[in-house]
Amino acid sequence: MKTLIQKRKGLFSLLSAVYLLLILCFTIPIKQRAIELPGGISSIAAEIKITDKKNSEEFYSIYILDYKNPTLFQLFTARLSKETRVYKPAKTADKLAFKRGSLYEELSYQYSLITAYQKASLIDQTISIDYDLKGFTIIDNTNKDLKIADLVVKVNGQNTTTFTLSTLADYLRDKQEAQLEILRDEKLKQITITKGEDGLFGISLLPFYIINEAAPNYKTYYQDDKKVGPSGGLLQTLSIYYTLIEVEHNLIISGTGTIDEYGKVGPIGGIKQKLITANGKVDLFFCPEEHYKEAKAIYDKLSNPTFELVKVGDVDEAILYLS
Amino acid sequence: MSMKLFSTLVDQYKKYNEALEAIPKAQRLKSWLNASLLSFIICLPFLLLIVNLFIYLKLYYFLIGLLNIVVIGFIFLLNYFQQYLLALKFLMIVIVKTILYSLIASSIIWPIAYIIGGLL
Repeated sequence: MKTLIQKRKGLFSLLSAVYLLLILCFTIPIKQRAIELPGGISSIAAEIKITDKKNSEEFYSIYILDYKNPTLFQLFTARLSKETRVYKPAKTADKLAFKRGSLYEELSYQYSLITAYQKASLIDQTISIDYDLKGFTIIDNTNKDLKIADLVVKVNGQNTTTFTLSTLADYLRDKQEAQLEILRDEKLKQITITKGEDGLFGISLLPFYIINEAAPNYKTYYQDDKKVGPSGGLLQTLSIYYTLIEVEHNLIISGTGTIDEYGKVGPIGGIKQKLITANGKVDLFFCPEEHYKEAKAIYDKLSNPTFELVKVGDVDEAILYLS
Repeated sequence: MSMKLFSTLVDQYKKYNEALEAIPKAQRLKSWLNASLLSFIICLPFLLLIVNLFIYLKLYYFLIGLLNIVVIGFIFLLNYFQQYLLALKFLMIVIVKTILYSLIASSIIWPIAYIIGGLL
């Protein structure tokens, strides 16, 4: 072996260089790049159980995979693939992004439960839900003094429970400065925020509810997995609703879209990857109307789509379609 | 036919063992370490290629299959180089050892793959 190496020194050096280059392509992560890939479907019934009801196994949320700092080889294959998207991720720390995703998921379940129980109570009088607005939680901000998940309980001395999200936005619109009372780790804090040069406070708020009582009761398990985010809101609402009223469709129903406390379906990210994931796994796919045009174009390009694509603006439209 | 093959194999194994025992233990260990290193260097790019492709979940079982082939390749190279470095030529022993160890490796890889695959 040694003599062979010495005899073919040039060839051996060239092969070694190619080998090393190959290993580097497979191992060195490329910072500031991320790949969005098709993922899988996950049963809503595994995330929430309604007591004394046969939990509907028909509804599935779709998750996609977000792969940060890929290797050069992964980046190359992702650019070649039609199913992936390469993008520059925001400079938010992973831990913070996960915290925000978890908070979004928690809020999404609050809104889903409220919407589904309220709609089901119109059909069955024994179904009820009692909840209170606790305040407005910070979901995104550029203010150094504020943190994600801080709960704004007072604005300029006024209880935030007297506001809705839109009336609070209207109230703050013509103010240059606002005194916030926030709840962080069970402690109250006073923080003053001022508008930036762009004329904005630089905070995003969402209503945070406390569910005091629900009949029938429920238990949540969504905290047990690493899947976070609000994009399963619509499907969570439908799953809870149909479990409560005990109606089955004998279909595998999926889709995507956030939900607010009024049942309106909102936009999400990664629609392309979600549609690709759904193909071959589901019978029905609910799509927020904001994404329908893009989704339809992707759907039309799928070879033999196994599902029907349905545009929805709110939960009622989805319920109407299923009925 | 199979009886003849079996007796040839037993005969080869005896000869192989005799040849192996004639070599000092330190040399045998050195050859094993060198064969491991050489096999690892050859298999590493294939292994990394497969690991890199695991981000594509729909290829999961295909990649597990490829991983299994790489493991079998590694076992073959390990046995082959070990004998080669000791100047031994018992190819039948290499093949039989590869088959046996590959069966053991596959029976470990696939149940684990199915457990992880079920969680995906």
